[in-house]
Amino acid sequence: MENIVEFRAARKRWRGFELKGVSFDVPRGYIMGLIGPNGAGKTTLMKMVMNLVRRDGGEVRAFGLDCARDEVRVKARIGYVPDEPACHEDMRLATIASAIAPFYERWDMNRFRGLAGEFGLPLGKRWKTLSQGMKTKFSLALALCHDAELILLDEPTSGLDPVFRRELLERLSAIIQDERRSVLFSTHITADLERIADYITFVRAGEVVFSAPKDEVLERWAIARGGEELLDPGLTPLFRAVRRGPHGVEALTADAAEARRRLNSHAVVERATLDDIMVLMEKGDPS
Amino acid sequence: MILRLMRKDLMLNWHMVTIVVAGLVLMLLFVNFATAGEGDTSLPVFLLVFVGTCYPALLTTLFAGIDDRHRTGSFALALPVRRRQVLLSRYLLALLLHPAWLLVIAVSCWAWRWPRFPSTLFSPESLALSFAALVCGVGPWYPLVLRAGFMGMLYGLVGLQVVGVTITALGRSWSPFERVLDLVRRLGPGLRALHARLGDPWYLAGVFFVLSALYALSFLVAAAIYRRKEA
Repeated sequence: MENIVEFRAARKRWRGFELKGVSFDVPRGYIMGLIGPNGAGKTTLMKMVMNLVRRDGGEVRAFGLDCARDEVRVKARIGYVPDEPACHEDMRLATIASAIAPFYERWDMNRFRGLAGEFGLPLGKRWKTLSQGMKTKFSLALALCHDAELILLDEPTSGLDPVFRRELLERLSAIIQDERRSVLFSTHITADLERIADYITFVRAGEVVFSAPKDEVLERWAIARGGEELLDPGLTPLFRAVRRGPHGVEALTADAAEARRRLNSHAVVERATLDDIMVLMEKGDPS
Repeated sequence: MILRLMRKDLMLNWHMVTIVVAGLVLMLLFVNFATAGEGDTSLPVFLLVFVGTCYPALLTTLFAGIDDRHRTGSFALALPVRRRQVLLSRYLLALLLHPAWLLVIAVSCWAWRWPRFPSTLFSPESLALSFAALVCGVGPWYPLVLRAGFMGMLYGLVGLQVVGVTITALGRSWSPFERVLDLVRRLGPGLRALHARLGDPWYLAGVFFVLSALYALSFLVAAAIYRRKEA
């Protein structure tokens, strides 16, 4: 399977934050969801692909090209929607689109106007008058109208209403139908990813916890709910995180089959949702 | 790519260009009105050239200031361009706009003193002075705005005046500063003596060379700062 993006031991250090040698791949023709708590490094990873932040080490490649050395060729093939879209405050949307169109060889102004119409974007309005959701929609329209092979979406759904959110997810699913394009999509709303993602990468404290097909993740990860017996030292190697609550103990495992076999009579073992995995990894005690 | 970046900058900062041009025209009207009775003396022309080109030379620095204020820098860098192209386009745009500012000055002066055309505006000395104004308007400020942001530039503009006033005040009461002020005072006569010794062509060529080197140095400093800046 061809990879459209490859991270190899990518490192970045800032004051109070470190990306510790992250490695994973985004396969061509699929949607990859990037999940993780705030400050985990999701935005930094996206910005590394766009060469907006400089990596301290490792390799980040897109379309087989180095994202820093070949940044012009790489960025020409990417549609990027940042987490907080920013633009010239007093400019009208039509002016902004006209100003950036010449930078893309395959820019399609008719497609842009079509998307603007579909998204309900008033092209005569100034940027500063738009709501956060409208700004995201505009960035999305820009990202989708130059035939990008990779769509990078950094928390795009957070400011959107549920109707457009659903529409966006359907549109993203449609984008990858030609098996030529991929989507890398970071979000806190894990239900969105459960609906459309093919692969999930979970980043926590600058490290990749897992990067695997979504179905495999949902099949392998499980939550065991039971009493104090779950804290038995013989069982703890089975768990990735444990949390004591008012109703007993919750333990997260990455080996659901083994957990079901060993905990048959002690606990209830249920499939974990992406939300469960994130919450328990973040709030639970490491086992 | 550089031309596309310049076009983008002018399109998306059009209101800033309008403000600068309007401000320049108003200033020229005021200066012309104030000096109208004095005839076509050389002082107002040279003053006009320096102030009239130094002020609009800040335009591209203001673009960088807007990038800092509204986080539009990352918007530009998300386009298929390199950082050094973004920077180069700004420095080249300042150079390309320079004749336009001279033209605005010439047309306003011409309109005011019709039909006498202010030909001294385009003398080699005037052009050298206007180039010096461009270097003063871009040279220190563009790297500063990249390093310290829009507010840093404003503090710099005010701070420079505070430093100037302080040095002048200290110079009157403290001998080491007096020597510095003496050096500055001797700079003018020194340059005039050099001008007389070298003659027009060599002196002006030297001035353009030194100013070009300073402009290039400013670009290199800005590039070093911009390379490290994260979007």
